Amino acid sequence: MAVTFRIEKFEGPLDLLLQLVEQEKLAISEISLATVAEQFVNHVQGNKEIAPEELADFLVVAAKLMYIKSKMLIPALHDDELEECPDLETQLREYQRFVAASREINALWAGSRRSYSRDARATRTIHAGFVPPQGVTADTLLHIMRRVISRLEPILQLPKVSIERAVTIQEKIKDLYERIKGHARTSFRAFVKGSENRTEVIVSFLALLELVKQRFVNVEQGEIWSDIHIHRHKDAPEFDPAHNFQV
Amino acid sequence: MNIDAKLEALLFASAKPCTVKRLAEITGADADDVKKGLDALAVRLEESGSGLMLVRHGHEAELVTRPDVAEMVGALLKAEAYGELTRPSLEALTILAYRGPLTRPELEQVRGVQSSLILRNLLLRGLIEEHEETRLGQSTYGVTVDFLRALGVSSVSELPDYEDLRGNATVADVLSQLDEAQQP
Repeated sequence: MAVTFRIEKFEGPLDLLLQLVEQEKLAISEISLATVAEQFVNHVQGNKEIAPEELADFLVVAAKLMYIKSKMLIPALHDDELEECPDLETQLREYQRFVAASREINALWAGSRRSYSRDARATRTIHAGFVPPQGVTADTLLHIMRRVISRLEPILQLPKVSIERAVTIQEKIKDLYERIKGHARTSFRAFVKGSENRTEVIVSFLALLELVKQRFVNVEQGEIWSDIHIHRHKDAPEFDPAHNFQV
Repeated sequence: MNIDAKLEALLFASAKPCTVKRLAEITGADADDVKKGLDALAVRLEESGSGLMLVRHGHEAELVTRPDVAEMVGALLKAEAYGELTRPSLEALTILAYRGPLTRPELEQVRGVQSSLILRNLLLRGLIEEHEETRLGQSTYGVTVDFLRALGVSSVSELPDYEDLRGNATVADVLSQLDEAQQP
């Protein structure tokens, strides 16, 4: 489905989602969320206005949308981890209510009714530079620093899990292409030497198959399980083969 | 002298929000009597048609001018207009006004986006404050009396649809799901 209209400006993923649902004149439901899922992803993809620190929040919502959509196609689908998250439909409906309330608050804020206290402290405007709040003493800073440290402790104790770096097939195609360009021949063993895991070897093999298909290389194998010799194809095209490859 | 008259004098002299605790210490009355005294003072100001009113917010109370005379008082004090609030600031303030105090993750759960910069900005402008109590090791934030004065309301409960949004079951639901997700 193509994006049929432009969303002007949005603040955060729920705002974007709400605008999409409202533009389609739909009520918030799983069905309407599934309807706009693709538009949401299209908006996020390649949108340079999304601040990097907010991108993760957009991806969370995109993942939830894709899950909702997948569930409609495959009713048996069930993911414990995603089911545990607060559900998007409720969250969006709630967000919508607060957006409505915030318009009323804005009317009060911008309106002429306000109260003054005796020292008429206007709410402070922001000045550039270091402006400590009133009444801050060295003790306050010490107190805050202690709290910061105690808050960091649970973070330090978190179990360490890291995502393994995934090697993409494009990277491998490029790698093999560069080798072949330089040396005209190599072998599969040399190519996968230094691979960190099985997946990387498999990806390397897929890259090799792709280059054979695109006629960049010829391969030769003496007997089963022996090393595969890779030669540059005599009519190897000049362009970058990774460009021709789509997942 | 009745306690409400004493409180009136203290709040007039203080010229800033006072906590119930502080008022209790000074008057020597217990906190419950101070709260009742504040209730009585608020009613008396209202019924006598005073130009002053009592703002109540959490444990704090402050004596302020009635919003109906805002223009005159503003002219006297040469008060400046408040700057505009950005959409994210407005959203965060609204959520904190109706549902506060909330922790940062709770606020982010409702807004769906990280909000640390917004919070910092609002803290600097004195529109929100960090509360003493923490939840799940996180600080909680709520709007300030200054913010209520800017809106010309005497308490958050005067905000439009307050009961509805405050006690809203789905918000509680969203937040409790978050709590569960964070429990070790």
